[in-house]
Amino acid sequence: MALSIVFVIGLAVGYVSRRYGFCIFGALVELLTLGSGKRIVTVLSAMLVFGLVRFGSYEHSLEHAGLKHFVGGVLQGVGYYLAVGCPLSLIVRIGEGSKFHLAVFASFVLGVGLYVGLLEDLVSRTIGFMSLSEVVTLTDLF
Amino acid sequence: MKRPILGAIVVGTAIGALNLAHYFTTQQMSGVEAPFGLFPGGFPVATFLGLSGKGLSPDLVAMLVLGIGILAGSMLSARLSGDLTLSKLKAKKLSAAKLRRAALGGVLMGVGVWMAQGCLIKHTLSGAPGLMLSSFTTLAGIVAGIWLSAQVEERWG
Repeated sequence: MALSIVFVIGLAVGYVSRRYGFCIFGALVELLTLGSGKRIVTVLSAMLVFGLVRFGSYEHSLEHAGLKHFVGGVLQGVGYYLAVGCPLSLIVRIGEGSKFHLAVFASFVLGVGLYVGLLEDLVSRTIGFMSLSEVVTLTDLF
Repeated sequence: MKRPILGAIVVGTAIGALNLAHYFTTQQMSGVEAPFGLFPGGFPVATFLGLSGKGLSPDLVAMLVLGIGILAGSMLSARLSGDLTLSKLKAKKLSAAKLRRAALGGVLMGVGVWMAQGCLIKHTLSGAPGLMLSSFTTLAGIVAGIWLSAQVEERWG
């Protein structure tokens, strides 16, 4: 039952994202390169809904912020720029029939394999233990 | 659209509500480590682990089903608007340069998402409102990566 609901949620997310152009990556690029903040309003509204209910209490992948998060973020940012989209827009564009994004998806899967098979050990031995903070959430600071 | 800001707020609120619905649905699922919001970056991760025969945890099954749902929703929207036709699919060809770009971008995304334990959607829509420091750190890295790429392309493009 729960998985059916997850599927319906995904269906709605895919439909709404494509129909109304919801894209966090696009909003960030517009903000960073054009200085336009119109699309970021959509993103902030979506954040606000979650924040109203679960403000300061998200517990998935509870980890201390570390250097690997920043480096992982930089790699993602470059990847998003090259692939013209984040994972959500990637799936949405595949649904539209984009062969380019299908190629990105296949490479994404290979990238996961590369990390799991070769890089995970290296990362945990080098930057994996470099924690930037003793606390997990901002609320823990106060 | 006459009121673009109002439209943006409505679309954002709808996505936010779906994110919350996903969070509460995974909260009800047995075997899920901790409830989580939308995480489309988990779809390729679950695909890899499924294909490699490592087995899928309930978290990864949910990510796989969500990804299939997003794909179906996008296809439905494209079909209804007439943008998805067989002739269009056959007509599109990829140049070698585009293939290289897709390969590099995809691999970097795969490595980055796994390393940072989440994609842009998860860290923005759930991690940031949840005040997770790891999400803010990842988002700072993503913004730096996008900015850096834009600068490189502008200068040496």
